[in-house]
Amino acid sequence: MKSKIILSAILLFFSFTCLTAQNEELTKAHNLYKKADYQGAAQVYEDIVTRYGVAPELYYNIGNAYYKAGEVGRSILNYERALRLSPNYEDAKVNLELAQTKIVDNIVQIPPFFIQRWIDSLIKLLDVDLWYTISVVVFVFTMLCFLYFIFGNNLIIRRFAFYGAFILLILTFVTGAFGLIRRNELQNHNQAIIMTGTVVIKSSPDKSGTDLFQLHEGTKVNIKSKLDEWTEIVVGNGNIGWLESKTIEKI
Amino acid sequence: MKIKIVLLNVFLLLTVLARADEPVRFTASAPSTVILDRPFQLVYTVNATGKDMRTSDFNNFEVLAGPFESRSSSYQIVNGKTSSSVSVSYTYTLQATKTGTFTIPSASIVVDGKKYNSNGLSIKVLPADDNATSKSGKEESRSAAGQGISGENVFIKAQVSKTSVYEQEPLLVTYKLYTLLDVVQCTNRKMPDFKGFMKNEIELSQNKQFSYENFNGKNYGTVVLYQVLLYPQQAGELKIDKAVFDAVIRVENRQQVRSIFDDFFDSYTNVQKAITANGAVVSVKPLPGNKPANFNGTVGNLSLTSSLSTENVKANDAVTLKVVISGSGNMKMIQNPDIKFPDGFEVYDPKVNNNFKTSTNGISGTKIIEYMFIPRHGGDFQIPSAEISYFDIKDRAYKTLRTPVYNLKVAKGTGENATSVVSSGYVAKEDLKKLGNDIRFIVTDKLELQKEVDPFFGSPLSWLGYLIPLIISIVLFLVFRKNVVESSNLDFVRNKKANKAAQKRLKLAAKLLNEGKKDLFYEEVMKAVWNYLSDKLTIPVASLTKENVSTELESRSVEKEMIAAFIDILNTCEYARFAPNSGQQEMGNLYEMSIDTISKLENTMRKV
Repeated sequence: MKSKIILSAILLFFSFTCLTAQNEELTKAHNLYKKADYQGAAQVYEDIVTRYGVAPELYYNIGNAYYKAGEVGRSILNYERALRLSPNYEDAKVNLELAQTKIVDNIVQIPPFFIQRWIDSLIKLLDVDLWYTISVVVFVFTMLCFLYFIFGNNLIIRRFAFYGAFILLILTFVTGAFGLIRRNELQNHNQAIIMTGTVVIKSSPDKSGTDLFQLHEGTKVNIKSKLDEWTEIVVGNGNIGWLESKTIEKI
Repeated sequence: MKIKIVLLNVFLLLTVLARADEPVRFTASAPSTVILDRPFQLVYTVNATGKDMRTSDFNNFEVLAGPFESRSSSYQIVNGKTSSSVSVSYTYTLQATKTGTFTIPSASIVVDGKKYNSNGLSIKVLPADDNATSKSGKEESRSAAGQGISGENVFIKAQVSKTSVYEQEPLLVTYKLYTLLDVVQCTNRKMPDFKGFMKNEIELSQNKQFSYENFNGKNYGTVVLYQVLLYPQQAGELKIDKAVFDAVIRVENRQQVRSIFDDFFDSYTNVQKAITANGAVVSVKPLPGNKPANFNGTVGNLSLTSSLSTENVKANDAVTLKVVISGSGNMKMIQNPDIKFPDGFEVYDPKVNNNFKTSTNGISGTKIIEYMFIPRHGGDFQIPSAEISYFDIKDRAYKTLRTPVYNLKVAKGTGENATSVVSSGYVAKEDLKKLGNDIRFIVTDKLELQKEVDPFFGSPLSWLGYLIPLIISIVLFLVFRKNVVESSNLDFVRNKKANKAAQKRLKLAAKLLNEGKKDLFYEEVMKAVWNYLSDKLTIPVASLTKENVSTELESRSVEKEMIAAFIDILNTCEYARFAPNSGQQEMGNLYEMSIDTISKLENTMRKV
């Protein structure tokens, strides 16, 4: 019993010291940023990511530091990372928009159909596990309605229960699907940002391939497939080509 | 006659006045380089009539002749104004006795009772030619002509002042003609394109003077043909290509048969020769990497001063901020410093006045930038400092110059008041002006950091969230169904059984009806009805009477007609058994009636 208390006390102490160290690092980075040493601040923030973990705000700060240091590609990458974790992060959206004005490529994105856009923003409204919880709760209600329909006494309520069970079952599937889509977005690192000044997109995963087009730092691409050192990408306007994997960084 | 004298007097007076304008100048002149044991002339010139010209001792020089005094005077009438000038020169012919650099101290002269001193001179004495044993100038030139036009006698050297410079650091390239011959003319035919440099030619004086220079033991006559300042625009090894000049050389005709006139009239021909000057390579160092943000390539040595025309001003009055950048370097690269004037100031394009001089040391001078602005509203404002950055060549470091921050107090202007009075408190509304665009600031709150974890949904365990309710509901379903079977009461079962039994009975009756067995039929119908009622009302058959059946049924709120129908059926059956003349028709009716009544009762009972 006594040893347990001591053990928990030690654990608490360790977690506490860890937390203070982390906070110290964060304040150090904040101060560097305030003193306009943006490169240094970005370095410390990156260090925190590898040592302690991530948060949307942290990625946002890194993005800011890189933006101020003039590294547009890296700043866009980090804003996108912040938005991947928290899609409705207003500040990150605003800053990303500003950073995107500084990139060279002007790829006209085919805007999605408005219903798809609505659904997309609806999906982004909630977390994966929140969607999951809703889905399970709705499913439980579906089952309750179903049981009432079978064993209930009152004819009118039974009729309601019957239709209700149907609607709730559909809702269960929809919310579940939303959760799965959101999870896919969160986990699938199939988007990347171009990191080097200019990249020539080849027709094949080979240096001797035909040059198709050129992309510049900061442009977002979708990863289609990979082969050795090469990655096949799709650009917003539908162009497909290969580039060397080292020239991009996944979001 | 009288008028003439007056005119003459006026005329004389004018000349006197004009003379009095000009200050007295007393100058000494001599070639800057001379050759040992070769005579040269030293001339003192004064632009007035003087007396008592005294020179100090010419140490290291031997006076061969002089001083010879010569006088020249001129009158000039320009636009009715007359000016006269007198020039008196004293010429000495000297000869150096030693090699080295010597000074000739200043001489003095008295003009109108005042003593004037001449400038001192520095003369470099070169050793005599190696091969030549002190010949006179003319002999020397002849012997040189005899040697022919070789590259040794005439050549052009390109001299580069520095071979290792920073980017934008000026270097001077001088093309100098060295000749032992009589070069009449020299023009540049093809100059290098100075690739990688920005060039700035230096204007040379029109009348070029030969000076002597000892080179490889010979005294060459030298003259600078072309000088250019170069500003390297890129780092690396930059090459200056070879240049080609066209020289016209006067050569004495050497005729086999010498006529008598040869001695009196030398005959010469002009020979054209292309002379190629050497090229050069300059290594250019890049500027250090830690460039300030507003550095735009200015290299040199600068200073910055600024002044504000006034620090207290009324609104709508113009204020001028003057920024003066002076120094040397590639001044042309300097851009107007960007000053962010407070918002609400009307700022005009700055007026720039460049005053640059190009010399062999580079461009130097001043750049005056005047910013004019008009504050439109009253208040205390700060004019931020203007900044320029440059690379200091001497210190090899970037430097940033700043003007001070000026505080400007703007009082309410008269115009502003007047309008507010006239339009009774009307204030011109201004939209919220967006002054700049910048990213939002970082989040400095405490952050909850966590390693990126996969969401729970999607893991195998998460599917239990659906599976568990499903299983529970299936179990519930099964349990409920069993319960229903168990709890459905015996009455209900018997009710159903009763119905079935009645129908069975009635089926038998129907069979008997078809066979025409009258007695058995009625008995069967009666039994069926009795048994049905007994089961339905849970009363044993033995204790059933018509009375208690009707009361029982009434208590269960069965309609009276139906009770009557039952009683009727029972009565009919009792009578028919003993009544002989009941036909097939009646039996059929009874059968129908009993089935109808039982099913009706069944319905009403179930509803209850």
